Amino acid sequence: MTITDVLTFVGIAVSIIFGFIISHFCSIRDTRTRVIKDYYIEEVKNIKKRIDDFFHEITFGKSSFRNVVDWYDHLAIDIDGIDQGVRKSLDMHIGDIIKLVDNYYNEITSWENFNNQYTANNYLPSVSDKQRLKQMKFDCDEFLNDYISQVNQSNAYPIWKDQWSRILNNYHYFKESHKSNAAIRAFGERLEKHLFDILMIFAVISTSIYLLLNIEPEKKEDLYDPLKSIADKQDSIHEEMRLFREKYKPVEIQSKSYRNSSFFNANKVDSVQIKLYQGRP
Amino acid sequence: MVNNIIKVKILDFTENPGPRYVKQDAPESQNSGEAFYVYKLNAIFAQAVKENKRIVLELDGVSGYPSSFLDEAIGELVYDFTLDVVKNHLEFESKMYCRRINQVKEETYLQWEKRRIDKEEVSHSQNLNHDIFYLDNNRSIATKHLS
Repeated sequence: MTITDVLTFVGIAVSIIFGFIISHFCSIRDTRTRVIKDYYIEEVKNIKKRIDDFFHEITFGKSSFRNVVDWYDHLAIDIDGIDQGVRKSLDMHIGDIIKLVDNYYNEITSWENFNNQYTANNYLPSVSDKQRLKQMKFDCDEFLNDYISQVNQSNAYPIWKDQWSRILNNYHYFKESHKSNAAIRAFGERLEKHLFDILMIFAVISTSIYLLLNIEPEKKEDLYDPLKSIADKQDSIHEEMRLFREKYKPVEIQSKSYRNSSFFNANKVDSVQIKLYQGRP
Repeated sequence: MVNNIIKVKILDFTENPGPRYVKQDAPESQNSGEAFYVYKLNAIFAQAVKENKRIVLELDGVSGYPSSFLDEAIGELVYDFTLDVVKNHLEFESKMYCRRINQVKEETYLQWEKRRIDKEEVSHSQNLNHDIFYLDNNRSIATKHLS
């Protein structure tokens, strides 16, 4: 087997591997990621609506001290769930939603005017409180829009992180189910799932290694000597010519050309010019 | 070194933690941070300091915390007993309200310690008519009357 054969084989193998990865892993991962993104974007939109409604109600005096506390208590749980879920599935780089909302909740519930209306059926914000509430709503809207955009643009975690987290999940599942050898089962589940892929990659790699180790170099025709011989001859002719030119000089005499003459008995020679040289003094 | 633990559940005091001051609360109700401090936490904490015990304050089980409730209750504790003593004798326990705990540790502790050092006046509701404990300049426990 020659290098050309090996290269051909490697080319085919690489094409197969890339084709498989693109068609199998990439497309499936993209589809899964899209579904997750759509789900969480919908969830964040719901949160955004709840926050919008909250600020609308509190600004227009339709909420009370107790409602605000209860609203935040439930919202915080939901936001935590969504935020943690998003970050578990997607590689996100944006602050927590709850941090912003929590800051505003703290601010509102520390207002003296708000505390003074603890027993009132409806909390009526002062003019300055209303202004501040509007600003808070604007900030929340802006942040959540950025958040949705981030969810949409974020990528899934690299495949090794993904697989590792699945192995850990499997491990906890088997351990909680009181199965023996939870760690081996966790790895086994992943191996079983990707057995065909692993076997294929293993086959290609081992075949490539085998071919590389058993490769026989092509026997090239040794052109060195004939080429050197030609070069030497050319050099010697050139040298002879040089010596000739040094030794003799051309002499102008009346010359005569012979055309198609039988003088040289050569059919393909059209004409011959004879130059005479005289030895240099 | 602090030994034993005294558990204090806020749920035993109120299900609905409310406003900052007693005067802001509904009549005959005890949902405010000030009431929790004056009528419950202050005495238990003083006892814990005397007996070299540690208080574990359980936050879970209530319907939610407005920030003013814990700020007043824990803040006054820092004001009366100093931040060092409070850190040494008070722990929090919660699964639901970790953010409130962080807020207390990061903001309330520092703000009220500063108020104590600056000798800033702390306002109270009127007609509390109750004695509360505090650490005097000799770092021994004394009482003062809130009228």
